[in-house]
Amino acid sequence: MAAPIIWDEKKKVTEKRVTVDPITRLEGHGKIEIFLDDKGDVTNAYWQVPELRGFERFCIGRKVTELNQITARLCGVCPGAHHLASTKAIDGCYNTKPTATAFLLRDTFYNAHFVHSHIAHFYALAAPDFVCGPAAPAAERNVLGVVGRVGLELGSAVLKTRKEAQRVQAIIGGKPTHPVMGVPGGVTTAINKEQQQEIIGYAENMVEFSKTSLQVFKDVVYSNKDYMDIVLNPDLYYHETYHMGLVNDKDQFEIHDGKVKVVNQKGEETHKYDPYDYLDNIAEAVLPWSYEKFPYLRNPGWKGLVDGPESGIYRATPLSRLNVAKEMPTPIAQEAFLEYKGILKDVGVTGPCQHTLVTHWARIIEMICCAEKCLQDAQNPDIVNGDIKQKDIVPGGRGVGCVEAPRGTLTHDYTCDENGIVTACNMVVGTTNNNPPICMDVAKVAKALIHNFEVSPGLLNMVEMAFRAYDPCNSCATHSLPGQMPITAVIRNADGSVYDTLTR
Amino acid sequence: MGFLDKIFKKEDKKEKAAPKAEPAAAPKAAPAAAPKCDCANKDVDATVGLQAADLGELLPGAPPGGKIKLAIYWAAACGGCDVSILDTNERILTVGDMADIVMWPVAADGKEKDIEAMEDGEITVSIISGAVRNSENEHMVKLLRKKSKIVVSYGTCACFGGSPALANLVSGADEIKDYVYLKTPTSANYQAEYCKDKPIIPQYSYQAPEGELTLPVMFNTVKTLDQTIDVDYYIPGCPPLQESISHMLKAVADFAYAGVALPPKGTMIGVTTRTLCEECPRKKENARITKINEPHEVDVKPDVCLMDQGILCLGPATVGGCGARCTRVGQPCRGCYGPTTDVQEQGASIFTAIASMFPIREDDGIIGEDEIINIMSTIKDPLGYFYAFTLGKSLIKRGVTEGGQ
Repeated sequence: MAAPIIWDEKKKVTEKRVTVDPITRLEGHGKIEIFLDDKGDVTNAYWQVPELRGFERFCIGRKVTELNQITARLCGVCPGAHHLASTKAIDGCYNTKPTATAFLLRDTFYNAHFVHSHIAHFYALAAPDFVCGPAAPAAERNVLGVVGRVGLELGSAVLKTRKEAQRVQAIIGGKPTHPVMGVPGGVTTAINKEQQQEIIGYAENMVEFSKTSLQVFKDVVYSNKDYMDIVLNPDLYYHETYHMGLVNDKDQFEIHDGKVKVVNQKGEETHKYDPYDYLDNIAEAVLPWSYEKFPYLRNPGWKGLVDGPESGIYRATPLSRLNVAKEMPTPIAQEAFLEYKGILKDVGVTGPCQHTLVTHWARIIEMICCAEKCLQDAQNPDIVNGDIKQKDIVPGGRGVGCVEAPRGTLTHDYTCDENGIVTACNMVVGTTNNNPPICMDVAKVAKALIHNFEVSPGLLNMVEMAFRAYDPCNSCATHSLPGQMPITAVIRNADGSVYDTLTR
Repeated sequence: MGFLDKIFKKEDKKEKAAPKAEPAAAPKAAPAAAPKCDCANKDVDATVGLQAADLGELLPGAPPGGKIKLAIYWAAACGGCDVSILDTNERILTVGDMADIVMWPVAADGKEKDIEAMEDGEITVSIISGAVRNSENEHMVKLLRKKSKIVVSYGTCACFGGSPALANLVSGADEIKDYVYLKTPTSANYQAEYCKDKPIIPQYSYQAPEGELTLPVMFNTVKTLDQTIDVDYYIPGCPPLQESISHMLKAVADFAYAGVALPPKGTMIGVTTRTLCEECPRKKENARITKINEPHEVDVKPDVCLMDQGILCLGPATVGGCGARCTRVGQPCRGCYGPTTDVQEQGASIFTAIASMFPIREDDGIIGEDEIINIMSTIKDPLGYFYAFTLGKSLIKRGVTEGGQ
């Protein structure tokens, strides 16, 4: 299938290199270098992450109990995920588990964090593509454009629900950005019945709001044939990779505490392991041209940036979590899950879904599930029980904490001595899991859209859509008002001077 | 104009007072630069923490003198500062009435190239978050300084180095890269299985089969923004809270709309003149400490000062302004708002505070030096704990390993 033409105006390139400089980050700016051959077709494209801060090294020597504060600063967009994974690793270093009430409080906090993150992503970042259409002028393709189409009422509901989800995190965690509640074996503060009622009120609203969001998605995506054509085009956002995600003991969707499950291209389970055994199952390749690492499954191993059953490259995204889970643990989400699977089957997807852009749909179903779980937790009478900390625990040993971050499986692994001083630290971060598939998507889209030295301005949109589906922290950024990632492609002449600049 | 008295405090209180600036006619153009620090604030009432500025019906269309130009940039940061600006929700939407946002990597377009093409001083205000960690950070903040009349150092990383500056306890960039790419077990397994003879570490310049690929050079030392460029104002916090941000927005808006003079250069915006303790709701009993506790080790009493319960809290050495969000939920202050303005060394300051809490007064009874040493030695990683956010600004530039490296 030919690549869809987003805008058909073409620019002639006179050099064999195109630099796309998107100025957003995971740890630093992202940069794409596209190389052309003599015929002006793409030979290769590189997605580079040009910054390293070195947390794993400077966490050594710190008090292990400080690490859930320090590592939250890895990312200000999903600090809740780092704080929780880190707290679980600290539990391990103290050879303890949270009390039942502490677990409930952490779970309430974390489900609210997911809802907040997914709302921001869907409405500010992703929705402009389907609501306004991928070919809409850039000036309309933003959250204000979305509000214009779907109505002001929904727009205010978006702001209100996001704010309330932040408020739930603040009640339990002190503040939503860089929360502080986690201590080994528990949390620092109990909540009272009044606060419980406040959270229940917000959670009820979150459930209603996520149901509405699913309806919005169905209304706008199914009716948008242009978009569905792009979604299901195997020449674009499609890779046959493994998929990873946490599941609970019933093989259901899980974000907080479970086993890591991996399925292959046929949907068969190839790995299911306790997070403590992650080193036996995954490793991280290092390539000389990016500061970001490239995780892969040790069996079948690292084969470079290629997909297929022989390559250990996997994805860890909402799409992946719905590929590995047998079902959802809550009723409304389960209903949505069955409908999702049914519709995918109708369009020919029988195994795991490999269409990257379907991730947005999966994300909404997750939002429903997390809202329901947040409400269930908050209604549990044990949540106001004051038993929030384990007693008489001492540090010394190794702890591995693993959660599903909104952007992928997140693992923190610490070792500390009997004084509680960290001696080793390793982290496999949510977005990093998806670094190899993002690289592959970028190269694939570039190859599909650049021929004979002709660059379509649509390239910029399409490349951007590749990132957005993964919701990488590179675009954490884009959880924001204009809802579009700023990208510029600088096209240079052979002497290095600028021939043309495409901006969106 | 009254808000200035309440909000802003100066870095150096000793300097003399200057006449209050009266609201003037709207400026035809943006100011040449931040005013010189030649006035003092009077009657600062900061006993109950910082209240948010009343932004009211803030922005009635474009300013009379035309829109100002605003740039927001992040260096080595986590993005939390940008989220904090976005968390102003509806208010941020109205900023567009006041300013043209010429660069904001998080949210708006505008590229290095566009900035380079500008006249020097063309940008009215640049708000920069993040520490300076590599050559790209350095290049961008120098460029923004050149093109901006006013530079605001936004957030703890820009002001004091923040968490990333803990890397200064390590010998340098090579040691960090060595650990991250060769020693962490996930990477060590890869290197052992695929690159046994020649381990791979990212290169500043790499010759790919198709052409050269470059990466920024990682510095050995993490620097604060004002160690790299001249800075006009500071807003600390990890991240700065809404109350703090509201004062910055109001100052800029009052300037743009009513010509109200900007605060003196060097002003810390969004903080009080007192320590965090003044706005912490916990009651201080001035108990004597004989044992250091971690929050998980004791049943933390909800209304009593954490220090009194033996929990090391940086409140006494930290400037107020955050509303004591952490101590309210039973966690001690880690000092993210930085030291009070009279103090440079936050860590040394808290040491003094802690020492004064040992039973050393005349009526305390006798406590031996050995006993004090015993208590003190239970404080683990004091450097990392007391300088968790301010190592970049400290006189302590580097950790020293035994053996004299």
